[in-house]
Amino acid sequence: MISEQEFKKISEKVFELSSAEETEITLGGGRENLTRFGENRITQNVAEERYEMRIRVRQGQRIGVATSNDFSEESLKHCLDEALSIAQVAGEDSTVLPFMKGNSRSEDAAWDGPTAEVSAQTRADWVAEAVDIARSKDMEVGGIALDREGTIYDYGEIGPFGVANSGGLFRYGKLTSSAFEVSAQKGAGAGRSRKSSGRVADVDAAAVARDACERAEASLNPQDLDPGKYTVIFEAEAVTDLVFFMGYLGLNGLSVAEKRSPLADKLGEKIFGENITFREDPSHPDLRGLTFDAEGVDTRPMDLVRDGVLKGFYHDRRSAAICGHEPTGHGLSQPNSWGAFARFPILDGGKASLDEMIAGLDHGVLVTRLWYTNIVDPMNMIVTGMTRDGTFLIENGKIKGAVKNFRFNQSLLDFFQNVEELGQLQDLGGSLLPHLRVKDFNFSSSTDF
Amino acid sequence: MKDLAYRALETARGRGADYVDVRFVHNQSEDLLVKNGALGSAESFETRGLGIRVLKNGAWGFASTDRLDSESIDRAAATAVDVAKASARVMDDAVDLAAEPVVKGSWATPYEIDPFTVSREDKLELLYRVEKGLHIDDKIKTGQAQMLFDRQQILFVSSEGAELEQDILASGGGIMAVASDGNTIQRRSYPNSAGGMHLSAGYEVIGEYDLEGNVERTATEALQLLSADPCPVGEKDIILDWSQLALQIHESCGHASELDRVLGMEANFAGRSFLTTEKLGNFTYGSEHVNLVADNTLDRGLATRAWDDEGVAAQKWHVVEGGQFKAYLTSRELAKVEGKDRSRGCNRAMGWNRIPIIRIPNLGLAAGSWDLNDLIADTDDGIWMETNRSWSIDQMRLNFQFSTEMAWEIKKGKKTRMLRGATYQSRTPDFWGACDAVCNESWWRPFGVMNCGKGEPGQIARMTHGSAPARFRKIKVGVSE
Repeated sequence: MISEQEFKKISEKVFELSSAEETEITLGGGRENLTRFGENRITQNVAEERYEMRIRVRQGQRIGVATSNDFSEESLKHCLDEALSIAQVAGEDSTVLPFMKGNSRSEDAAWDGPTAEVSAQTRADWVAEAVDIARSKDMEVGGIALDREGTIYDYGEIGPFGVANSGGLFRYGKLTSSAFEVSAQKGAGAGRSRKSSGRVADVDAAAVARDACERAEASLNPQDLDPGKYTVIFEAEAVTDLVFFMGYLGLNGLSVAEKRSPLADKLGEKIFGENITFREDPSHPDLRGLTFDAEGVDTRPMDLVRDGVLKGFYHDRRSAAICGHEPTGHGLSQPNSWGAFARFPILDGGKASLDEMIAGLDHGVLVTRLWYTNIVDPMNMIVTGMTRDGTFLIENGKIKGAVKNFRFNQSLLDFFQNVEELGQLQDLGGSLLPHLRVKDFNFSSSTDF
Repeated sequence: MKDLAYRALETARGRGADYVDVRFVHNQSEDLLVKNGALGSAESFETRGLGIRVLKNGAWGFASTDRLDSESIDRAAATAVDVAKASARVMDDAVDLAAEPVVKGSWATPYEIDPFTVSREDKLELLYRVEKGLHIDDKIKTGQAQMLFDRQQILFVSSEGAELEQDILASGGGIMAVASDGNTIQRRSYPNSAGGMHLSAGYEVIGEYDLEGNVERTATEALQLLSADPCPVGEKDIILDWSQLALQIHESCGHASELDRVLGMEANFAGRSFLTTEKLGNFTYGSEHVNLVADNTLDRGLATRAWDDEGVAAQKWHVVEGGQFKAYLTSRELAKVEGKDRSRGCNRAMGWNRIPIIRIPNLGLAAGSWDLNDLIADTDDGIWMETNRSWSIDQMRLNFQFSTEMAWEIKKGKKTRMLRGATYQSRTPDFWGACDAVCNESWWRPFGVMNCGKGEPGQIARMTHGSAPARFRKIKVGVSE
């Protein structure tokens, strides 16, 4: 990893070379190792190490940005020249802010030594365990074993682990993550399980594999069930997509600033059921991540929704300034057209276990995972998507059997008003969400499997 | 860089690799976006790096680095071999690569104007001007104009003796207006949604699109959609435009025919496919009018290149011919599963840091015989759907739902009223089986997809899906609550 001292040296060189009114450098990347398996064998095994710097300059109300993975002095100069040349031809933008002022701070609470040292052999051992378990049950498994140090994300996007600017702000953080995911298949039965954590010691590969295989076994021979409105119990894993789109469509400060959010004018109003409290807590021990955003703003605990009442939005500095709010430390690299997003989300839960929730439902459907969720109508927060990897009919408090997967078309405004019960909080490796029981969920069609 | 690539190759061989290929990639891109009069993005992006793929004991290993010194490259090559040894811990049969003629050569995307020689001032001046033009009414809440240019210079060398250099260019852009009256949000894009239209070509495409000439229409249509009637719920004959057909082809045929996903290698993420191996040459995918042709030699296609990222020459073949499922998308590793002794050349990587995986090639719907005006005139109770807005499909690529930015009701052969929120839903073989007309060659246009995601770690790929408007009978439209 590029160390704090190295980043300091690079940033100081950039500030020394820069003629801009203000200069910011962010540093991201790191190492990512991923073993992929399918058909009960390792199909792909990769190791990646890379870093990117992003230089942003401000000249009055004009901004320019250049990115490179070459940290030589010649490249630093070239990158600065590129950023300055863009700033020269960029139009004046009244919403451009002076860069964040601040002190110097580094953190390593989200870093774990053993996770940074996981070997390809260890990952292969995990896969071997999963394959052995699957073969003993006459199943096929696929999945991934992952370890990561730094901020390379799913599609190779790089987030910052270092932010520094010529105004004196300096942030640097170390973080690790580890994950094991297993998708099991047996005939028409499919099940998936995963464990994602900042600490490799939390990953029990055999437990994940056993859970996936048990789920696949349970979902054998899915039967037809007519689409329609059902009371549905969503496992926490299936709640993930819905919470994301609720945040993206409704709570994103940029959508609010641009009047595209249906919640833009509802601050202080009751928007969801009284049982819904949705918040951010970077201090929670199970939510490990860097506690500053891409502009170096510290991410602070906050309520988005408290007892059903809208309390706040995710803001970067720009959207916060436009709305007259405070930045919340959820911003991406500036400028961008995306806005700000959840970083340490918690949807407060209740006391019931999943089994207790199932036992309390006379007739309904259990959904374990959603897939390919996408927006249909942003103003009414209607999204569509599919169920996947195990959908079940519940009768008289018991799982009666697997049913074929459904397509849903559902307003999230209605969804979070229709929550009848919240189960125990589940650690999903980046978010804490409960299982939910929701009435009148709209399955609009079904599929063949 | 050739010396470094060969150093990596020799180091991996010296460590015992049985097969090695090395890709050095220099990626340069420029992303310019003006939104509501301000820069939404103005970024110059440049990376270089090297990826080393090896086979050892019949199993794959891959490592990449952007530290282009001898020590880092040696370390990456050693890591690739170590990773392959670990892969061999959980394997069945050894990977057996289909043969490919060993070639030394070079190729570059044909273009007229190198976009990186056009001044940023000129580009931004155009973007500011057209974006400003979108704000014709207070109800236009967001105007957006953007351009993206991307060049990948790839050097590929392999232990079989291949040495290939390619210079691949993509250029494009577009405009978008988002209108809202507080009750609904409607969007219009030109020439395509999701960032505009991109082709494997130079800056000349920006002039061809005539962004300025389409500003007023785009903004006007966004406003008109605010008061348009909602899409009815029921069964209608639908005619899809190029943009929507591109996504339809992409999601329901492209991904469905990727052989790695058919075999379960994508099961944990993108899913599997209903086009299982027993269906090859033995399955009616669509009507006789449906001919889906893969073509990595297509002029201006985003997947067009001379060789894929494992050195296989570009090819053209039918995936679906006369409605019958004929072929998969394959790599050297999986060609033999299809019963072929040569890969179809679909293995591509996002960049130097990612391993090549099977990606959708340029895949188009071959032209039929209809004139579009005649097709509309021939439709009694239908909907014309234009410009993709939203998409969702199940993990076997069967049940899908798409929506478009704009639609027109067709009654007795005439477009009668604009519709908003147009949505259709079907099942892949049913849908393509309901295709009874495809427009002729004069209506055929290539439309690009710039953001196809697949793989773990995830990779973004580009490809072009050409088509002419086509009609599908009695399709479920509208969303029932």
